[in-house]
Amino acid sequence: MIRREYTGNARRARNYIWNAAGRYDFEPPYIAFYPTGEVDMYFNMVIGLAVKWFDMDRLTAFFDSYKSSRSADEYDEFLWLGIENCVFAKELPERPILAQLRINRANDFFRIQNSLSRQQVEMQSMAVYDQQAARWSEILGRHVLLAGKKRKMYEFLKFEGNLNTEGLISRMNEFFEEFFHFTPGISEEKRSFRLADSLRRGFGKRRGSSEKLMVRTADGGGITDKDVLLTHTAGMRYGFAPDKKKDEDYIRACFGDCVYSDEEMRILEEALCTDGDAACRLWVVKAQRNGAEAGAPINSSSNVGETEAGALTKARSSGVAGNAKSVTMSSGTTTAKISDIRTQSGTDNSTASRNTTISKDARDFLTKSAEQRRRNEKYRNENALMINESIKRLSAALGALFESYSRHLPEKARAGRLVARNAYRLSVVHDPYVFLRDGDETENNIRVTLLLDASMSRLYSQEKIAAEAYVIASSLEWIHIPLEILSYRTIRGFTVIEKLKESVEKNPESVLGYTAGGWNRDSLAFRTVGRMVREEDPNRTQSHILLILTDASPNDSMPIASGGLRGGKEYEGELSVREARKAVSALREDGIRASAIFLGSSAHLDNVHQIFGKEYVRIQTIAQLADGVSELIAMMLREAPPD
Amino acid sequence: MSDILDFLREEGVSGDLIRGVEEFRGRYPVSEEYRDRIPEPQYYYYGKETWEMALAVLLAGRNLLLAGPKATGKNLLCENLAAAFGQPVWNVSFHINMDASYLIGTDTFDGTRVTFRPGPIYLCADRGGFGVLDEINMAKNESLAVLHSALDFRRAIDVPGYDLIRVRPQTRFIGTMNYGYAGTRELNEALSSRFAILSVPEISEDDLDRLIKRSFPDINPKICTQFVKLFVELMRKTEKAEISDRALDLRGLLDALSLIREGLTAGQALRMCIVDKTFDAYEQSLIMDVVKARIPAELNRKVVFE
Repeated sequence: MIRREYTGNARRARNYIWNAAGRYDFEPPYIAFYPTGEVDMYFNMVIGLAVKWFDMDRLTAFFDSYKSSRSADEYDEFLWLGIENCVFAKELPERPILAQLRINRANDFFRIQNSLSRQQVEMQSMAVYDQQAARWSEILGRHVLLAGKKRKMYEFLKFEGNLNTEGLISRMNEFFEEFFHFTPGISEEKRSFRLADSLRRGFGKRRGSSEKLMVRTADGGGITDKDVLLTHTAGMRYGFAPDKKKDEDYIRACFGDCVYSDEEMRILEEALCTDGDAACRLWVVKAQRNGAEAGAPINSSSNVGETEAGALTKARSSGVAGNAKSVTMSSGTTTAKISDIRTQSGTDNSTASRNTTISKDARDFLTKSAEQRRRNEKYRNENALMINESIKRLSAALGALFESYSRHLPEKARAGRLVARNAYRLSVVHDPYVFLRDGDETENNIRVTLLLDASMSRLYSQEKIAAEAYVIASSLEWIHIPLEILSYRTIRGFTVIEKLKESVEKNPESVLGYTAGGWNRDSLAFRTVGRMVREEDPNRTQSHILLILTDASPNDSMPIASGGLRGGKEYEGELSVREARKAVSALREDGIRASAIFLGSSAHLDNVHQIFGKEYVRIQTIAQLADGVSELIAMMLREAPPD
Repeated sequence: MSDILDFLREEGVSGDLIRGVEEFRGRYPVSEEYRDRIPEPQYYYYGKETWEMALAVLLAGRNLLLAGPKATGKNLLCENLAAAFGQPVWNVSFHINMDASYLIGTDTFDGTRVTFRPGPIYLCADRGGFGVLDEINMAKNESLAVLHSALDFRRAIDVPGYDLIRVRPQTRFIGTMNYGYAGTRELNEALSSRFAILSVPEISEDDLDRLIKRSFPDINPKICTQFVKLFVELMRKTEKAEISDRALDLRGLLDALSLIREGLTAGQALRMCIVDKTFDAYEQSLIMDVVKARIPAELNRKVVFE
């Protein structure tokens, strides 16, 4: 009945709890469902009322003290039955309908019991069932058929309505002593610690080794909540001895062909990959994913042993076109690096075996990328209400903002501003339409590019970032502002700019193909995007807004080229922030209004301030997006365009 | 007309302010032609402090901007203020395409010559009364620049090609605005500095209770409390963005009680006046959950009204 994890109806259940508690600033420790999966309205209210009337932190600590016990679920059920009686008595005067809801709950109990399959009935704890059946029978005015110890327990679980937190915990402790002969706070707690310790020991090695392979630290700021920080491991750094052809093949396998010709790319790289980025490469691609196809099952086994090109063809033909890396992909990347080092140290690797390795990496990436798309879509669907509300609010706010930057085209009217040179028409040809007024048609000058940081550090936020980008894309589409969506990441020395949506397209769904993976060489990515904006329309950069969804933690495995014999410095920490700041300044000098939507941890707040100045907004939940983004854009529009 | 001043006395509004309002009425009588523009409020605004601040601003000859979220009674307060001062109301509902000609007036052809057709601001300034600028932040700031001279110490509107209109001494402008409401924008400093800004608070449980009891004197007090708490729970849910503010509708709550009095059950009335204000099925279910946890669906007028 009461579970600790959330399911599809969880939001509705949580709303019952928050509503009954009268506050929304906590995550419910429990949520109640019927065995049929329906939300249990009454018991969720009971949980909320427990939060209202008691110190829930202390109650949760009490529940946690026996959670490693095999009978923990059973104990939970008993105790919540007791708490139900207590909070019912407390709340009834304030909420008279509770009596009726309790009766409804009792009826539901028997209705659902009758509909359970035999297996479901067998899975129930009979001890719990007896207590519940007795409670709900009594509420319905029926006889309680319990005797002996069961009857005693039944009476004991009628916790009184005058208990406070202290009293309730004391009663629960008495319950355990009386009926199960143990004290949860002592014996069970110790046992749970031991269990947790052994679990940690069991998983420790594996976790450690995987962290080494894929985790990085940007600037020694430490790991913060929900951020993956990758570290540059000595000797493992990319650029040690790159196999350029192999890398390019790998990039092509993962992201598809570059949209520019070789000649165009050469010009672009000569212009942009200079100074500290001299050893870097660029790759600009059009995302080739399709929502329906990406969701199709993947037959990875059919690709085993094929060459990279074959694997790519196969994967794409089965609808899996990818753009980004995932955890598996990252490990795969490192495998490739290790093979590079091995080759360098004399290990004889044939071309065929290298190809097979790359093929597997690319295939892993495509698979994970498709999976991520499904997760993004699922997240979007599960949070549809909140997302739709954000779209509504953001499009309304932005519509109002951009309205000032659009010009109403004048139209002739019977009233308005008199056009003197046409006034003669009034008397000569009896034409009353000699006035002008603002017509409904407008001419818009603003264009927006949304640039998403798709590096590995966004690993734990992929669904959220995709949803936020979806809100922004849908809102701008709604008010007919041309929007281009790009993502960037750096992998194997290539800074890959992926066009998720072009400004002429009308499909905000394409942003759900967002997947995180790789490094982020922000400075090079920003300069490349700036160049692309200028190439597209050199005369209108002044009206171009570049919104960058970032965690302000630029970091790349390729060092900053020094030009001398000594190796360059790492692209991380203060140095990389300085590079990114220079790139943003250059964008602004070109007239592009660059600003950031900061989604990172507090540890990088200083970075975002350094890179973007005051033109950034911090977003922690999607609900803040409408206000945050509209404020940010208002700030940019208010300020005179840079000279 | 004395009703509303009696109400203010009952609410404990400062006697000095009420005397000021009475003097204002005596000093600026309204001609018969515009008497039907003086509102006769169906509901009163509850909130002593807000009343006192608003009255003081208007008595001092300043313009008032009421800012606050949905369902705080801004328009009700505007109407109540005009009724208290006994002045006709000139309403202007602002929208995105509002321009100067809409507010002040526009040229038109009357069949024989081009004439000036005055807009509501012109009329309010020229005839006297309270100009209610509803949702003032829906319009573009630049189109409101024509109001500057009318709102500041100059108290005049210069219509190019026509006369200079002096704003009458009894004329006041009351703006309303809703921060964060769909389609709204920030007022620029030039405009906001011409108003005294009053943040209208959310209605308190106590005030809502008194509002309902005054509107429905025969309501069962215990049931009334449950309706009040229902509204407060919807306010909390809206604040936390769990539901949109569509269902947070004070008028809807009062309408629901009216429908119950007419014979509908509480479930039917609340569905029509609160739950179905939103068109999203999932959001409706969340709102319905709140209703179900407070008000029995089968509740009827015999129980609700004594």
